[in-house]
Amino acid sequence: MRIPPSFYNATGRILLFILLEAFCLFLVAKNGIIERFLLNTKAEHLRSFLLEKSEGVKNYFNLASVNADMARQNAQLLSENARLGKIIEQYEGDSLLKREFPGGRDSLSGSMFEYYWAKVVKNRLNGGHNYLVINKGTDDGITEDMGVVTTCGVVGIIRSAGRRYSIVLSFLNPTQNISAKLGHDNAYGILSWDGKSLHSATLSDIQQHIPVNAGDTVYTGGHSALFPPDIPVGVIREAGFSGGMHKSAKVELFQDYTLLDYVYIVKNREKAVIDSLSLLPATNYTDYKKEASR
Amino acid sequence: MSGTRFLLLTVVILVIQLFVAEFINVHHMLYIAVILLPVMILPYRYNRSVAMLIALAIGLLTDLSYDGVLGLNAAALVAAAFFRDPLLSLVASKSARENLSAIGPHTLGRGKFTLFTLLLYSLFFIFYIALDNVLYFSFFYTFGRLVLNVFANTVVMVIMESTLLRGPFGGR
Repeated sequence: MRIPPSFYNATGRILLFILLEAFCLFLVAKNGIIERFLLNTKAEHLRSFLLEKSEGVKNYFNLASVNADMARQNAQLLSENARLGKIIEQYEGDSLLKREFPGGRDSLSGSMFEYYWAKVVKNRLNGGHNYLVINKGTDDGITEDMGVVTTCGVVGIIRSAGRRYSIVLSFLNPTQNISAKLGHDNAYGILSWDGKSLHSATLSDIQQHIPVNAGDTVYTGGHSALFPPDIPVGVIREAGFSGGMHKSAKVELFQDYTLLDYVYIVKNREKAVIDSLSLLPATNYTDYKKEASR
Repeated sequence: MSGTRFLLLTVVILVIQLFVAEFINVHHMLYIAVILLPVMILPYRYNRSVAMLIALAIGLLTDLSYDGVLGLNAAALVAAAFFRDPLLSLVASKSARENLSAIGPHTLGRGKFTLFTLLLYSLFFIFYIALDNVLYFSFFYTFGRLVLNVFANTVVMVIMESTLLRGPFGGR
């Protein structure tokens, strides 16, 4: 039987279609923000110029400097607050240590977190993958994988840092999960965007014996090296069981992501130490036990 | 429509797309995708393989230009280019299609062009939303987003049809 040439044409077209779609899917899966940012760095001067010009119009002229000054002061207050919190924690910890282990360790000094302020120059809120561009980069000491917060919640994580600008992968993304806790009894869970509304998220993996009620406040948990603990994130609107084993709750977020203007970048001074500890192989604990038993 | 005129139209549409994406944010669920227009009215003399490659180039250029997620527009436009002819066969007879020099309201008629636009946008957004929402699948949310985007974009396209395609880029 002779196969007509149109069969090969049709098959070729279908194969080409599958190939091109697979290529696009690969690009989406790679989430091309980094690649695009690298491409854009060559045109960064033009980009900076355009961003600054368009922002200048938005900043109502002289109000921009007033806002910037207030943001700077707020960042200083946050750093001071974090430092004082650390001192209190140290004091309480040292007191406990002295009670439990008289003649124990020396106390540490300084705060774990340091804050930098930055202005949002672009805020993409369209669909399921959202991000921001802020006007601080490596020249200002910003590096990748720093947390970004406001006093009303978590904004995201620095994904790429250029010299003067950085890209922040917004909390409103499918890959973003943060450690969170309920205020009343430090019950921990995982907070992630629900993908539906810019104002709500889902708190999941809460132990089923923990009472979760509408109106309970949700805070950052502090179980990661990226975000400081105890930042109020939102309030529980409704709760229920998910999968029968854990509870989950719908959280109304305090942060209005459409109104982001100034944000605070969180630098964890001890992140390198924490990261190096988390990279230790699991067998080390066994080795440690063997050492200890000798 | 000549190749030069098509290229010029594509550049104009790309600029409009960038402007819309940058400055017009009605709702985070709504994406105005005027960039489908060049693929929709791509000269009929190009075969589907060439149409898909042109759609891929336009899609990647769009994604790169307005800082979207690289691959989203490209995937949706390639699908639109692939299914353009089968969808056209649903609204126009074989003899009408054989005499088509280009797809437009002046060749298909306003009603059929609007129906064709509606079908093509449905397909475009099925691919676009499926890729964008892959980790958030919720039937009602996804369906709502699809319906909203298809109808809003069809309205925008009908408005553009009465301005761009009948004005400087009229394909007669």
